[in-house]
Amino acid sequence: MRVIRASFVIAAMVFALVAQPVSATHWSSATFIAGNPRCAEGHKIDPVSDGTFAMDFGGFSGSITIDVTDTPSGPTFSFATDNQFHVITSVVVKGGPNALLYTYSPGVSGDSGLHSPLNSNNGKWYGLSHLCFETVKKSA
Amino acid sequence: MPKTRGRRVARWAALVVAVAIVVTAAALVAAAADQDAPPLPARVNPLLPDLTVAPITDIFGGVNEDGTRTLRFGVTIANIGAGDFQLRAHRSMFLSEDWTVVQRIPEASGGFTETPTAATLVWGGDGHDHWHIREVESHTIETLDGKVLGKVVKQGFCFFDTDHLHADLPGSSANPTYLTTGCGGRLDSTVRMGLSVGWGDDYPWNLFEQEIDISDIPEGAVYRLRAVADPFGWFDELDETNNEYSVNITWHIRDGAPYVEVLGSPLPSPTP
Repeated sequence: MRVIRASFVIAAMVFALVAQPVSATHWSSATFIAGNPRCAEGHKIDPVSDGTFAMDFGGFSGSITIDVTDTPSGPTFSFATDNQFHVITSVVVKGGPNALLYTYSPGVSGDSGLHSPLNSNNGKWYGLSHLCFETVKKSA
Repeated sequence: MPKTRGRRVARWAALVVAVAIVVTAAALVAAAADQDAPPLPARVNPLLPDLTVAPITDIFGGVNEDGTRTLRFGVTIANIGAGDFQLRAHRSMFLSEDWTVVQRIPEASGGFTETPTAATLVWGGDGHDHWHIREVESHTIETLDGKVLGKVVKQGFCFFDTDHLHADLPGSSANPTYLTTGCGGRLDSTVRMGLSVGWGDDYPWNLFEQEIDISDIPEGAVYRLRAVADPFGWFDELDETNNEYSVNITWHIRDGAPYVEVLGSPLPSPTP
Protein backbone atom coordinates (compact mmCIF):
# COMPACT_ATOMS: atom_id res chain seq x y z
CA MET A 1 0.00 0.00 0.00
CA ARG A 2 2.80 2.37 0.95
CA VAL A 3 4.53 1.67 -2.32
CA ILE A 4 1.37 2.57 -4.22
CA ARG A 5 1.02 5.76 -2.18
CA ALA A 6 4.67 6.57 -2.76
CA SER A 7 4.21 5.95 -6.46
CA PHE A 8 1.46 8.52 -6.53
CA VAL A 9 3.67 11.01 -4.67
CA ILE A 10 6.57 10.48 -7.09
CA ALA A 11 4.25 10.62 -10.07
CA ALA A 12 2.82 13.89 -8.78
CA MET A 13 6.34 15.30 -8.32
CA VAL A 14 7.35 14.30 -11.84
CA PHE A 15 4.11 15.73 -13.22
CA ALA A 16 4.68 19.00 -11.38
CA LEU A 17 8.17 19.17 -12.86
CA VAL A 18 7.13 18.40 -16.40
CA ALA A 19 3.64 19.79 -16.77
CA GLN A 20 2.83 23.31 -17.84
CA PRO A 21 0.69 25.19 -15.34
CA VAL A 22 -3.01 24.87 -15.94
CA SER A 23 -4.48 27.96 -17.54
CA ALA A 24 -6.05 30.28 -15.04
CA THR A 25 -9.60 31.31 -15.64
CA HIS A 26 -8.97 34.72 -14.22
CA TRP A 27 -6.86 37.54 -15.51
CA SER A 28 -3.17 37.98 -14.77
CA SER A 29 -3.51 41.74 -14.62
CA ALA A 30 -6.24 44.35 -14.98
CA THR A 31 -5.20 47.88 -15.90
CA PHE A 32 -7.19 51.04 -16.34
CA ILE A 33 -6.04 52.53 -19.64
CA ALA A 34 -6.25 56.29 -20.01
CA GLY A 35 -7.65 56.87 -23.47
CA ASN A 36 -9.06 54.84 -26.31
CA PRO A 37 -6.62 52.16 -27.52
CA ARG A 38 -6.90 51.14 -31.15
CA CYS A 39 -7.70 47.54 -31.98
CA ALA A 40 -5.31 47.23 -34.88
CA GLU A 41 -4.06 43.69 -34.34
CA GLY A 42 -6.88 42.36 -32.23
CA HIS A 43 -10.38 41.13 -32.96
CA LYS A 44 -12.97 43.80 -32.36
CA ILE A 45 -16.51 43.09 -31.22
CA ASP A 46 -18.71 46.15 -31.63
CA PRO A 47 -21.46 46.41 -30.53
CA VAL A 48 -21.19 44.12 -27.54
CA SER A 49 -24.02 41.65 -27.28
CA ASP A 50 -24.69 38.00 -26.54
CA GLY A 51 -23.63 35.75 -29.36
CA THR A 52 -20.97 33.65 -31.02
CA PHE A 53 -18.48 35.43 -33.24
CA ALA A 54 -16.01 34.01 -35.76
CA MET A 55 -12.39 34.60 -34.83
CA ASP A 56 -8.96 33.76 -36.18
CA PHE A 57 -6.54 32.12 -33.76
CA GLY A 58 -3.10 32.45 -35.29
CA GLY A 59 -4.29 31.22 -38.67
CA PHE A 60 -6.82 28.74 -37.33
CA SER A 61 -10.52 29.46 -37.64
CA GLY A 62 -12.59 29.38 -34.53
CA SER A 63 -15.14 31.33 -32.59
CA ILE A 64 -15.78 33.05 -29.32
CA THR A 65 -19.03 33.20 -27.40
CA ILE A 66 -19.92 36.31 -25.43
CA ASP A 67 -22.48 36.37 -22.66
CA VAL A 68 -23.41 39.78 -21.24
CA THR A 69 -24.99 40.07 -17.78
CA ASP A 70 -26.56 43.15 -16.24
CA THR A 71 -25.64 43.55 -12.58
CA PRO A 72 -26.41 46.28 -10.05
CA SER A 73 -22.81 47.50 -10.52
CA GLY A 74 -23.15 47.68 -14.30
CA PRO A 75 -22.77 45.24 -17.19
CA THR A 76 -20.29 42.37 -17.05
CA PHE A 77 -19.54 39.68 -19.59
CA SER A 78 -17.99 36.28 -19.93
CA PHE A 79 -16.24 34.78 -22.94
CA ALA A 80 -15.47 31.25 -24.04
CA THR A 81 -13.64 30.10 -27.15
CA ASP A 82 -14.70 27.03 -29.08
CA ASN A 83 -11.52 25.09 -28.32
CA GLN A 84 -9.14 24.90 -25.38
CA PHE A 85 -6.25 25.50 -27.79
CA HIS A 86 -7.86 28.73 -28.99
CA VAL A 87 -6.59 31.06 -26.33
CA ILE A 88 -6.99 34.72 -25.52
CA THR A 89 -3.96 36.64 -24.25
CA SER A 90 -5.62 39.98 -23.58
CA VAL A 91 -8.97 41.76 -23.71
CA VAL A 92 -9.52 45.50 -23.94
CA VAL A 93 -12.93 46.56 -22.68
CA LYS A 94 -13.85 50.02 -23.88
CA GLY A 95 -16.55 51.92 -22.00
CA GLY A 96 -16.90 55.65 -21.43
CA PRO A 97 -13.84 57.72 -22.37
CA ASN A 98 -11.32 55.06 -21.29
CA ALA A 99 -10.74 51.33 -21.24
CA LEU A 100 -9.76 48.39 -19.06
CA LEU A 101 -7.03 46.00 -20.21
CA TYR A 102 -7.12 42.42 -18.95
CA THR A 103 -4.04 40.30 -19.67
CA TYR A 104 -3.64 36.52 -19.44
CA SER A 105 -0.34 34.71 -19.06
CA PRO A 106 -0.64 32.00 -20.12
CA GLY A 107 -3.58 32.58 -22.42
CA VAL A 108 -7.03 31.26 -21.48
CA SER A 109 -9.99 29.88 -23.35
CA GLY A 110 -12.55 31.58 -21.15
CA ASP A 111 -13.18 33.97 -18.29
CA SER A 112 -16.02 35.82 -16.63
CA GLY A 113 -16.77 38.93 -14.63
CA LEU A 114 -15.06 41.35 -17.00
CA HIS A 115 -16.34 44.91 -17.15
CA SER A 116 -15.50 48.41 -18.36
CA PRO A 117 -13.98 51.24 -16.26
CA LEU A 118 -15.86 52.78 -13.38
CA ASN A 119 -18.01 55.83 -14.03
CA SER A 120 -17.18 58.05 -11.08
CA ASN A 121 -20.40 60.02 -11.60
CA ASN A 122 -22.65 57.15 -10.59
CA GLY A 123 -20.27 54.58 -9.08
CA LYS A 124 -21.11 51.98 -11.73
CA TRP A 125 -19.18 50.48 -14.58
CA TYR A 126 -19.70 52.16 -17.91
CA GLY A 127 -21.72 50.41 -20.60
CA LEU A 128 -19.78 48.07 -22.87
CA SER A 129 -18.76 50.12 -25.90
CA HIS A 130 -16.60 47.54 -27.67
CA LEU A 131 -14.22 44.68 -26.95
CA CYS A 132 -10.82 43.90 -28.45
CA PHE A 133 -9.50 40.34 -28.09
CA GLU A 134 -5.85 39.46 -28.70
CA THR A 135 -5.44 35.86 -29.74
CA VAL A 136 -1.99 35.57 -31.12
CA LYS A 137 1.73 35.56 -31.27
CA LYS A 138 2.85 35.37 -27.71
CA SER A 139 1.58 35.46 -24.20
CA ALA A 140 4.86 36.57 -22.66
CA MET B 1 15.46 -8.47 8.45
CA PRO B 2 11.80 -9.59 8.40
CA LYS B 3 10.67 -10.94 5.05
CA THR B 4 7.92 -8.32 4.51
CA ARG B 5 10.28 -5.44 5.27
CA GLY B 6 12.84 -6.84 2.88
CA ARG B 7 10.23 -6.96 0.13
CA ARG B 8 9.18 -3.40 0.89
CA VAL B 9 12.77 -2.16 0.64
CA ALA B 10 13.21 -4.05 -2.61
CA ARG B 11 10.06 -2.51 -4.05
CA TRP B 12 11.19 0.95 -3.03
CA ALA B 13 14.56 0.41 -4.62
CA ALA B 14 12.93 -0.85 -7.80
CA LEU B 15 10.68 2.19 -7.90
CA VAL B 16 13.57 4.62 -7.46
CA VAL B 17 15.59 2.84 -10.14
CA ALA B 18 12.61 2.89 -12.52
CA VAL B 19 12.10 6.63 -12.05
CA ALA B 20 15.82 7.24 -12.54
CA ILE B 21 15.78 5.19 -15.76
CA VAL B 22 12.80 7.12 -17.13
CA VAL B 23 14.32 10.52 -16.32
CA THR B 24 17.72 9.53 -17.73
CA ALA B 25 16.14 8.14 -20.90
CA ALA B 26 14.20 11.38 -21.40
CA ALA B 27 17.38 13.39 -20.99
CA LEU B 28 19.27 11.16 -23.45
CA VAL B 29 16.49 11.39 -26.03
CA ALA B 30 16.47 15.18 -25.67
CA ALA B 31 20.25 15.32 -25.97
CA ALA B 32 20.20 13.14 -29.07
CA ALA B 33 17.65 15.43 -30.68
CA ASP B 34 19.94 18.39 -30.00
CA GLN B 35 22.74 17.09 -32.21
CA ASP B 36 23.63 19.34 -35.11
CA ALA B 37 26.31 19.45 -37.73
CA PRO B 38 29.52 20.86 -36.24
CA PRO B 39 30.32 24.53 -36.79
CA LEU B 40 32.98 25.61 -39.27
CA PRO B 41 36.34 26.58 -37.74
CA ALA B 42 36.38 30.16 -39.04
CA ARG B 43 34.24 32.71 -40.84
CA VAL B 44 34.73 33.03 -44.58
CA ASN B 45 31.74 34.94 -45.90
CA PRO B 46 29.44 35.37 -42.91
CA LEU B 47 25.83 36.45 -43.34
CA LEU B 48 25.48 38.73 -40.35
CA PRO B 49 22.14 39.85 -38.94
CA ASP B 50 21.33 43.48 -38.25
CA LEU B 51 19.00 44.22 -35.35
CA THR B 52 16.89 47.36 -35.33
CA VAL B 53 13.82 48.60 -33.53
CA ALA B 54 10.66 49.63 -35.37
CA PRO B 55 8.85 52.76 -34.16
CA ILE B 56 7.35 52.37 -30.70
CA THR B 57 3.57 52.21 -30.95
CA ASP B 58 0.46 52.36 -28.77
CA ILE B 59 1.82 54.32 -25.83
CA PHE B 60 -0.69 54.46 -23.00
CA GLY B 61 -0.68 55.37 -19.35
CA GLY B 62 -2.61 53.18 -16.97
CA VAL B 63 -3.31 52.21 -13.39
CA ASN B 64 -3.05 48.63 -12.21
CA GLU B 65 -5.33 47.01 -9.65
CA ASP B 66 -2.76 47.65 -6.90
CA GLY B 67 -2.66 51.37 -7.72
CA THR B 68 0.64 51.24 -9.62
CA ARG B 69 0.84 53.84 -12.37
CA THR B 70 2.16 52.24 -15.48
CA LEU B 71 3.30 53.04 -18.98
CA ARG B 72 2.39 50.52 -21.69
CA PHE B 73 3.73 50.50 -25.24
CA GLY B 74 4.45 48.21 -28.17
CA VAL B 75 7.98 47.39 -29.36
CA THR B 76 9.09 45.36 -32.36
CA ILE B 77 12.70 44.39 -32.96
CA ALA B 78 13.56 43.51 -36.54
CA ASN B 79 16.38 41.82 -38.41
CA ILE B 80 17.30 43.81 -41.52
CA GLY B 81 20.65 42.07 -42.05
CA ALA B 82 22.02 39.55 -44.51
CA GLY B 83 21.52 36.49 -42.34
CA ASP B 84 19.25 35.15 -39.64
CA PHE B 85 19.88 36.13 -36.04
CA GLN B 86 20.31 32.79 -34.29
CA LEU B 87 21.12 31.98 -30.70
CA ARG B 88 21.74 28.52 -29.30
CA ALA B 89 21.76 27.97 -25.56
CA HIS B 90 23.09 24.82 -23.94
CA ARG B 91 23.46 23.67 -20.38
CA SER B 92 25.89 21.07 -19.19
CA MET B 93 23.45 18.87 -17.32
CA PHE B 94 19.81 18.06 -17.14
CA LEU B 95 18.12 20.81 -15.06
CA SER B 96 21.36 22.66 -14.31
CA GLU B 97 21.35 26.46 -14.51
CA ASP B 98 24.75 26.93 -16.17
CA TRP B 99 23.43 28.03 -19.55
CA THR B 100 25.89 29.19 -22.18
CA VAL B 101 24.64 31.06 -25.22
CA VAL B 102 26.37 31.10 -28.61
CA GLN B 103 25.50 33.10 -31.68
CA ARG B 104 25.28 30.96 -34.78
CA ILE B 105 26.28 32.86 -37.90
CA PRO B 106 25.40 31.33 -41.27
CA GLU B 107 27.91 31.28 -44.10
CA ALA B 108 27.05 32.31 -47.65
CA SER B 109 28.31 28.99 -49.00
CA GLY B 110 26.57 26.90 -46.38
CA GLY B 111 27.39 25.85 -42.87
CA PHE B 112 27.88 28.19 -39.99
CA THR B 113 30.25 29.38 -37.32
CA GLU B 114 29.51 29.86 -33.66
CA THR B 115 30.60 32.71 -31.39
CA PRO B 116 30.33 32.66 -27.60
CA THR B 117 28.26 35.45 -26.08
CA ALA B 118 27.77 36.92 -22.62
CA ALA B 119 24.02 36.29 -22.78
CA THR B 120 22.25 34.09 -20.23
CA LEU B 121 18.85 32.52 -19.92
CA VAL B 122 16.17 33.01 -17.33
CA TRP B 123 13.15 30.76 -16.90
CA GLY B 124 9.97 32.69 -17.64
CA GLY B 125 7.81 31.23 -14.92
CA ASP B 126 4.70 32.99 -13.67
CA GLY B 127 2.75 31.90 -16.69
CA HIS B 128 5.41 32.57 -19.35
CA ASP B 129 6.62 28.97 -19.30
CA HIS B 130 9.53 29.22 -21.65
CA TRP B 131 13.11 30.40 -21.59
CA HIS B 132 14.00 34.05 -22.00
CA ILE B 133 17.29 35.61 -23.03
CA ARG B 134 18.19 38.24 -20.47
CA GLU B 135 18.90 41.74 -21.76
CA VAL B 136 18.57 40.86 -25.44
CA GLU B 137 16.68 44.14 -25.59
CA SER B 138 15.94 46.96 -23.18
CA HIS B 139 12.88 49.17 -22.83
CA THR B 140 13.42 52.16 -20.56
CA ILE B 141 12.01 55.52 -19.60
CA GLU B 142 14.76 58.10 -19.26
CA THR B 143 15.38 61.77 -18.75
CA LEU B 144 16.44 63.62 -21.88
CA ASP B 145 20.06 63.47 -20.70
CA GLY B 146 19.94 59.68 -20.45
CA LYS B 147 19.29 58.94 -16.78
CA VAL B 148 17.26 55.72 -16.60
CA LEU B 149 14.15 56.16 -14.43
CA GLY B 150 12.40 52.89 -15.08
CA LYS B 151 12.67 49.58 -16.95
CA VAL B 152 10.12 47.27 -18.48
CA VAL B 153 8.73 44.71 -16.03
CA LYS B 154 9.35 41.77 -18.35
CA GLN B 155 12.36 39.66 -17.35
CA GLY B 156 14.09 38.85 -20.62
CA PHE B 157 12.66 38.03 -24.00
CA CYS B 158 12.03 35.01 -26.15
CA PHE B 159 12.23 36.19 -29.72
CA PHE B 160 10.88 34.58 -32.88
CA ASP B 161 9.30 35.54 -36.21
CA THR B 162 5.97 37.28 -35.64
CA ASP B 163 5.76 40.03 -38.30
CA HIS B 164 7.08 40.08 -41.85
CA LEU B 165 8.22 43.69 -41.91
CA HIS B 166 10.75 43.73 -44.77
CA ALA B 167 9.71 41.08 -47.27
CA ASP B 168 11.78 42.77 -49.98
CA LEU B 169 15.10 41.98 -48.33
CA PRO B 170 17.23 39.36 -50.10
CA GLY B 171 16.88 36.01 -48.44
CA SER B 172 13.75 36.91 -46.52
CA SER B 173 11.54 33.83 -46.29
CA ALA B 174 7.83 34.18 -46.98
CA ASN B 175 6.88 32.13 -43.97
CA PRO B 176 8.15 32.34 -40.41
CA THR B 177 11.13 30.10 -39.72
CA TYR B 178 11.53 30.61 -35.98
CA LEU B 179 8.51 29.85 -33.83
CA THR B 180 7.57 30.08 -30.20
CA THR B 181 8.57 26.44 -29.77
CA GLY B 182 12.20 27.57 -30.06
CA CYS B 183 11.89 29.16 -26.65
CA GLY B 184 12.00 25.67 -25.19
CA GLY B 185 10.48 24.02 -22.16
CA ARG B 186 11.60 23.63 -18.62
CA LEU B 187 13.35 20.29 -19.22
CA ASP B 188 15.14 21.21 -22.43
CA SER B 189 18.92 21.30 -22.41
CA THR B 190 19.16 23.14 -25.72
CA VAL B 191 17.18 26.21 -26.70
CA ARG B 192 17.16 27.59 -30.23
CA MET B 193 15.87 31.09 -30.82
CA GLY B 194 16.03 33.06 -34.01
CA LEU B 195 14.81 35.99 -36.04
CA SER B 196 14.77 35.61 -39.81
CA VAL B 197 15.95 38.20 -42.27
CA GLY B 198 13.17 40.71 -42.83
CA TRP B 199 11.10 39.51 -39.88
CA GLY B 200 10.20 41.27 -36.67
CA ASP B 201 9.45 40.12 -33.15
CA ASP B 202 6.54 42.07 -31.73
CA TYR B 203 5.90 42.85 -28.07
CA PRO B 204 2.49 44.52 -28.21
CA TRP B 205 1.38 47.08 -25.66
CA ASN B 206 -1.26 44.73 -24.27
CA LEU B 207 1.15 41.90 -23.48
CA PHE B 208 1.47 40.77 -19.87
CA GLU B 209 4.30 42.73 -18.16
CA GLN B 210 5.00 44.87 -21.24
CA GLU B 211 4.95 47.92 -18.96
CA ILE B 212 7.11 50.29 -16.93
CA ASP B 213 6.20 51.36 -13.40
CA ILE B 214 6.07 55.17 -13.46
CA SER B 215 4.47 55.64 -10.04
CA ASP B 216 7.46 57.55 -8.67
CA ILE B 217 8.19 59.62 -11.77
CA PRO B 218 6.76 63.16 -11.65
CA GLU B 219 4.18 64.14 -14.24
CA GLY B 220 4.58 67.06 -16.58
CA ALA B 221 8.24 66.78 -17.58
CA VAL B 222 9.47 65.51 -20.96
CA TYR B 223 10.87 61.98 -20.89
CA ARG B 224 12.40 59.67 -23.45
CA LEU B 225 10.87 56.23 -23.99
CA ARG B 226 13.68 54.15 -25.45
CA ALA B 227 13.90 50.65 -26.90
CA VAL B 228 17.28 49.13 -27.75
CA ALA B 229 18.09 45.79 -29.35
CA ASP B 230 21.24 44.15 -27.99
CA PRO B 231 21.93 47.05 -25.59
CA PHE B 232 25.25 45.56 -24.41
CA GLY B 233 26.61 44.73 -27.85
CA TRP B 234 26.85 41.00 -27.16
CA PHE B 235 25.95 39.91 -30.67
CA ASP B 236 27.72 40.37 -33.99
CA GLU B 237 25.79 42.45 -36.52
CA LEU B 238 26.31 44.20 -39.83
CA ASP B 239 25.67 47.58 -38.24
CA GLU B 240 25.95 48.22 -34.51
CA THR B 241 24.73 51.83 -34.74
CA ASN B 242 21.09 51.37 -35.70
CA ASN B 243 19.84 49.36 -32.73
CA GLU B 244 17.48 51.77 -31.06
CA TYR B 245 14.35 53.81 -31.36
CA SER B 246 13.19 56.43 -28.91
CA VAL B 247 10.33 58.84 -28.60
CA ASN B 248 9.77 61.83 -26.33
CA ILE B 249 6.64 61.77 -24.23
CA THR B 250 5.04 63.47 -21.27
CA TRP B 251 2.02 62.68 -19.15
CA HIS B 252 -0.42 64.42 -16.87
CA ILE B 253 -2.41 62.84 -14.08
CA ARG B 254 -6.19 63.16 -14.34
CA ASP B 255 -8.44 61.33 -11.90
CA GLY B 256 -5.39 59.40 -10.71
CA ALA B 257 -4.38 58.12 -14.16
CA PRO B 258 -1.45 59.19 -16.37
CA TYR B 259 -2.63 60.54 -19.73
CA VAL B 260 0.27 60.30 -22.17
CA GLU B 261 1.11 62.82 -24.86
CA VAL B 262 3.56 61.75 -27.57
CA LEU B 263 5.90 64.60 -28.49
CA GLY B 264 7.80 63.03 -31.38
CA SER B 265 10.87 60.94 -32.00
CA PRO B 266 14.37 62.39 -31.77
CA LEU B 267 15.67 59.60 -34.01
CA PRO B 268 14.56 58.47 -37.45
CA SER B 269 13.20 54.96 -37.68
CA PRO B 270 15.94 52.58 -38.88
CA THR B 271 15.45 51.29 -42.41
CA PRO B 272 17.21 48.56 -44.37
